[in-house]
Amino acid sequence: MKKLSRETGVAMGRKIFWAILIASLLLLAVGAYHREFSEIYTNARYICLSCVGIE
Amino acid sequence: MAGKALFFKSLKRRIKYQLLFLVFANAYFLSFLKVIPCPILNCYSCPLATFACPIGTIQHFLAIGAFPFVVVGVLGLVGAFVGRMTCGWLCPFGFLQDLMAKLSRKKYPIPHFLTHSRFVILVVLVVCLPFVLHEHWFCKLCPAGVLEAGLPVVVVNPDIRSQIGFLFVVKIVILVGFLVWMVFSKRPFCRVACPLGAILSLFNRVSFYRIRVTERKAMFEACRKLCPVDLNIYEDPDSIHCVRALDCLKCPGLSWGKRT
Repeated sequence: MKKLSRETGVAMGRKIFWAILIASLLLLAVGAYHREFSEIYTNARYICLSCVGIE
Repeated sequence: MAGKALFFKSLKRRIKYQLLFLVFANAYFLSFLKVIPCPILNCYSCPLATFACPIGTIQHFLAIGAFPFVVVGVLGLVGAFVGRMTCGWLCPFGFLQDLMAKLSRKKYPIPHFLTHSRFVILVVLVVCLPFVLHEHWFCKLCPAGVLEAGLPVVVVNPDIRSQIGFLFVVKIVILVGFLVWMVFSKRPFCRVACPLGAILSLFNRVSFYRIRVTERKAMFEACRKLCPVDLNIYEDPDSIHCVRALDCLKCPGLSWGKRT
C-alpha cells in the first residue's frame, strides 16, 4: 500500500484549502452576477410562514 | 483548583462572544444586513433578525429552482478558514444549548449513529424535499424557527395567532423535546439535527485554522468533560463533530493555530 508522508498530507490540505477558497469566491461572484443578494434580501424581509408554523 | 479557575475564565470569554453575537444578530435596526446569509442558526423571520438564515435561503433558492451560489460561497469561505467555529462561538441556538446544559450535572451520552442523522436531514429536508415539493420543509420543523420567530410573531401579531394550527403544535413539541434533551445531553441539536453544522463540519478537516495535538496526554476523560460536544479531541482534532469551542485548549498538549 502506498503511504503518504506527513509533509505530503499537509501540502494536500493546503491545496484543498486554496481550492475551496477560490471556488467560494467564484461562487460569490457568480451569485452577485445573478443578483442573488437582492433575492436573499427580499426573501429574508418577508415573514416565512413555514418558520412561524403556519401551513 | 487553578485549573478550574482557568476553565471558568476562558468559558466566560466564549460566553461573552456568544452573548454579543446574540444581540448583534437580533439588533432590529441592522436589518439591512439581511442581504448576508450568516453561518449561524438564527431565524430570519424573527422581527429583530439582522442576517438571513443560510438554511432558509438554500431552501428558498432550491424551491424556486435556482442554485444558491451566494450561500454556498459564504459557507465555503467561512468553513475554509475556521471550519465549524461559528457553531461554538456565534450561533445563538448553540448558546442556548450551552446554557441549558448547565442546569444538570448528569449528562447522558448520545449514541454515535445518531450523530450522522444531521446529514440525512440536510439531504432530505433541506435539499431534496424543497427542490421537489417547492416548500421549505426544514423550516416547517425547525425548533430554532419556532423559538426565535414563531413564538414572538404569534405573541405580537393577533392576525397570525388566529392562523396557527397543527404544524405550530408539532414545532412546539419538537422544541420542547430538544429543550429537555439539552439539559441531559451536550448540544443535542448541533450533534443530531443541525443541517448547517453538517455543511460546516465537512470543512473541519481542511480548514486553515485547526486544533493541533502537540503532545498526546492520557487526560481523555477530563478533557472530554470540558468539551461541549463530548469529544475525545486527542483522538481526532479535526473531527467533523467538533464545534471548535476551544474549551479543550485548557488541556495540555493542545493548541489552536494555522495549518502548517
